[in-house]
Amino acid sequence: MKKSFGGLARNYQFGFSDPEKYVFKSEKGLSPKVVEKISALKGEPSWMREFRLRALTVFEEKPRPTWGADLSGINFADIYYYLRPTDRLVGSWDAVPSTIRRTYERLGIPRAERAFLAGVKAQYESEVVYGSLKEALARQGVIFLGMDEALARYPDLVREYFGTVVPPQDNKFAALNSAVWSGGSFVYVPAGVRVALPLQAYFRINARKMGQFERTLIIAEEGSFVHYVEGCTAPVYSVDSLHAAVVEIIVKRGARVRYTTIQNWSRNVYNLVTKRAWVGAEAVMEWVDGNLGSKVTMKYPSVYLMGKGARGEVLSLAYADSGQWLDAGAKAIHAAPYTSSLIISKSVSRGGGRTSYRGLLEIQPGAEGSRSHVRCDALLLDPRSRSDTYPTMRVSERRSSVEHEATVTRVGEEQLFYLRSRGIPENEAISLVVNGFVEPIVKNLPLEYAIELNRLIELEMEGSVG
Amino acid sequence: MVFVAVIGSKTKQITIPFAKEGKEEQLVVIFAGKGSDRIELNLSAIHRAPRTKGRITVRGVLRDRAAIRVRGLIKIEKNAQWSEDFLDGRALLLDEGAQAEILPYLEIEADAVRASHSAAVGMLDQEQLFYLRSRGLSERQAQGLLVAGFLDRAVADPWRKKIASAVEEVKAYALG
Repeated sequence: MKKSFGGLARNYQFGFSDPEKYVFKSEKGLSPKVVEKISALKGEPSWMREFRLRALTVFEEKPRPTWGADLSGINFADIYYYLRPTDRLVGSWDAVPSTIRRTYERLGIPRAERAFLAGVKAQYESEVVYGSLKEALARQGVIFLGMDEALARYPDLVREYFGTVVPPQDNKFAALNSAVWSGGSFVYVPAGVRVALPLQAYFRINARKMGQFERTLIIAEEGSFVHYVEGCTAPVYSVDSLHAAVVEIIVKRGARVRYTTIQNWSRNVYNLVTKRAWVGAEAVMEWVDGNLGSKVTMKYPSVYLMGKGARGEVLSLAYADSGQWLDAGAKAIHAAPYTSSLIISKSVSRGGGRTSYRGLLEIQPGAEGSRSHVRCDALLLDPRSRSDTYPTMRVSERRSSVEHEATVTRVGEEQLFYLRSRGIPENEAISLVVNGFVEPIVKNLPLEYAIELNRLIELEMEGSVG
Repeated sequence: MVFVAVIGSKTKQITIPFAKEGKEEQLVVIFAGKGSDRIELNLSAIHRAPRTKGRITVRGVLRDRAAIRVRGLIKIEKNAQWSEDFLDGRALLLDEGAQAEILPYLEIEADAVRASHSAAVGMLDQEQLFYLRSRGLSERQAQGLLVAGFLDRAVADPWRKKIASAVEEVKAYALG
């Protein structure tokens, strides 16, 4: 059978029923019927449908985690698990919260971009830029597609790796994502290929990309390099209150992958993400993770160092304001000799916000010569805010070097006094100190993100005095 | 100072409350495990009053397949402004098979405080061992010197004489 779906023509040899027979009707709640409908609407191969259904069973069996941020506010029955892109548009510009509109103004976001970010429009007109980027990548043999499209065009490649780094059994929200995933990115880089420009999810001009249950899979063959960037510093208004994404990355021998995220979801969102990289011998994985928005975030980018000489780095930034609880951190598992990891976490709490660093550093028997350094610093901007640190260090190989340090501080009186004596008003002084505090992370962001982030912090600080 | 020596398989729970303004207290724990010992330490310093000052130091050695889990919580509540605390946890693994798990937790609800921790797990410095042996000491004697030095540095100079016999006992258990 030949079908047209999202502009592509495909041959289906899997005996699947015609998706056009389904009358699309959005409904709340989760059931095998909803999962089958999602799979049918996308015209997926039967193995993916089976995968989703098995994951649904796992999701239903697993209890909610008893640790971490407070998830009692999530009502699984009251959620739409699949909506067409047009269904999740906000009616009009007026429906977008005024705080968000004002931030766009102050950050100088171009008008066309604002509508897209706010969910008022489904498309963002950067087709021209996207088009030429696609050509350059195709010449190198690089595949960069939406996950749905990748499954349709390269089913065998996807099947080989999908769910191998984060299986549905891993945790309740990975199981949920595995059952109802939609959107996300697929990146494949052939051996020895270096992708010079960062790949940005932002350019894929698809509202569904900013969806609830994104699934991203990146495969870097031996000796390759790619930098993937997602998100933006400007606040993104989401009607969906539950986001459970999964990101799987495979970094083969001698390859390097950098994955940069800046998340600034609106304050109604529960953002629960499982991000994990399998790192082979002599390979390098770098996570740069910026968490600004959401009501609750639970996210622990992980590096599983499986080959000799593998290296992993996690640079994590969290900024929690009133009503927010950002529980973020990192995991580094050393399962091979001479592996190394670096974890730097910087968190800032203000106005009663709460940040927690939660991490695991594990050196397994046999991982001799491994080295790890973990540093988590927290900055409290007022007496109402809270900061926690919950690291675990599990060392079973004595021929290793593990160092961990954590500090909690506030903006010092002397620092403030010095800056004010130089004629800098108090709120500007505070934002200078905060920007300096987060500098080790920010300097690793692409330039335009770094600039926007600094501006955003200045904006936040304006309200912090008086 | 609250000083505790933990030898062999034991589970110990120690909580130091800082309920009165200005209270200062130091907690020092040294430990040794061998064979298939399992040591579990649950330590916490809870600061409820302002201007309180604490310090938690944990140091010990493990040989054979012994294992330790150290939970060290420093909690500074809203009313405990101007307080400070610091946790330092270190474990020496003398043999392959030994395992240390350190969980230094911080829960901070006041902003004008000083709270930090550091943790390290490793083995005896091979160069230091070599130097001592090149001076004619046996492997056992060299290890003994280094382990004793590692353990008694858990406290500052004036206290070392007071804990000397406990250090000796812990060292003897590990190396004896």
